[in-house]
Formats: sequence, structure tokens, C-alpha cells
Amino acid sequence: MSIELFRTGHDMWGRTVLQGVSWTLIWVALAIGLAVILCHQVYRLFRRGKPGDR
Amino acid sequence: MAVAAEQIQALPQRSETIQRHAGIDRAFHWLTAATVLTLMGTGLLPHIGIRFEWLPVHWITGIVLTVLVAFHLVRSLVWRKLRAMWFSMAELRTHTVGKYSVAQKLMHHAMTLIVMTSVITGLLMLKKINTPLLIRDPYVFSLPTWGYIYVLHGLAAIGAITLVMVHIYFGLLPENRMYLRAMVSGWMTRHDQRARVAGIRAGEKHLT
Repeated sequence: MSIELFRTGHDMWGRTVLQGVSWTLIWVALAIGLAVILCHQVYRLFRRGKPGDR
Repeated sequence: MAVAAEQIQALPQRSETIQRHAGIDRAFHWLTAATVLTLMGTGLLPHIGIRFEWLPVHWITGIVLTVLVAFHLVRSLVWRKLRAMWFSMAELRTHTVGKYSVAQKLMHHAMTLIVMTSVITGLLMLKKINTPLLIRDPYVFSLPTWGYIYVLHGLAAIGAITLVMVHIYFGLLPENRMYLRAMVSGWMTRHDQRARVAGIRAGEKHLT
């Protein structure tokens, strides 16, 4: 599966022009944010178990 | 307004507290937070299927954010120490503790990049709509230039999603509660400050 990075359209001469970023990236950004939070939670879990730690 | 006795007792003694953020900085932080969240909501929700009349709220909030950013820039450049927000070799090498940790500075700089990009491109985009501030002129830039402006504005908005999520998450962690309290009330206890210095020296991250 490929993710489109940009939205494109055509000008009056039929040339391809940029219109903006693809809104699919909203879900990618949400997924990255959730991944960072999950990774940190796992890191905390292992760190808590280490002897000598708070 | 009467304050409950137990609330007064819950406050630390004056000598036990350190002021971390002045009232004006806290007001700036929370007003910026409100405007950024409003801009994200009005700018992004229509693209995931939640339709409403978003444009007037979006550009007016954008102007408010521009004013806030201009105020912060002037205040930072004229009245405050810019060095407090930059990295020193000492803190990178020996974990010397300043007001902000390396991670907090990184978060600030990432947010600066995102907010500045969206403010500058957003101001340019005002030329495409009817507002009382500017005469609409969509031909001020060529079509490819508008494309780049829209790409930058969109990238900043999408980057803000991840950054805001991470910022709120780290701000709510129990070990970072002192930063949240300082951003609400302005103060931090000396005990918190000692714990903060010890934590940073031990390599803890503080991303709030």
C-alpha cells in the first residue's frame, strides 16, 4: 500500500500543479504520535523494573 | 473571594517556593495553546469528514496567534535572555542543569518552527479570501507558488498533530507534574527543583 504525499491538480493548460499535502497524512501523524506514546510507556515499564531506579 | 482554609494550608510556604514562570508567560502559553488547538480543529476536522463553517473562525484565530507570536518575539528579543533557550556545550557534555532541559528546548524549537511556518504561510493565504483586512488578490502568486505555500501550511499543521500529542502526553506524566503546576500557578517547590536537577543529571527526559 502506498501513501500519497501531495494533492495535485491541473492548470488551464493541463499541466500538473501542486495543491497541498495529502490529508491521509493526518492519520500518519496521529499514528506516529501514538507510537511515540506507546514506546515511552513500554520504556517506563522496563525502567521501573530495574533495581536501583525510582 | 473566600478561600477554603485547607486550600491555603495546601499551598507551600513562601520560602519553600521558587517562581518558575511569570504570569505574562503563563498567559502567553495558555492563550497560544488555545489558539493552536482551535486552528488545528478548524483546519483539520473538515478534512476527516466533520463539516462546518470553519474558515472565519480559522483566519480570525490565525490573526490572534500572529499577534501572540509577535508579542512573544519582541518580549524574548528585548526583555529576556535568549541564551536560556539555546543549547550550551556544558549541558550537552556534563548534564549541567539550566532552567530548561535539552528535551524541553528541542520541543520549544520544533513548536517554533511549526508555528512560524503556519503563521507566515497563513498570512500569505489571507490574500486568497475575503477579509476586512486585505483586498483579495489570488493572482499575487503564480499557481506553483501557491502550491508550495499550501504544502508548507499543510506540513506544519500535520506536524503539529504529533508534536501536540507528545507535548500533552509528557506534560501529564506524574514525574512531570511539577512543570504542569508551574505553568498553571507559576511556582515550583524547592523539593521539586532538587528532584528536577537530580533527575536531569540522571538522564531523565523532560519534554513538556
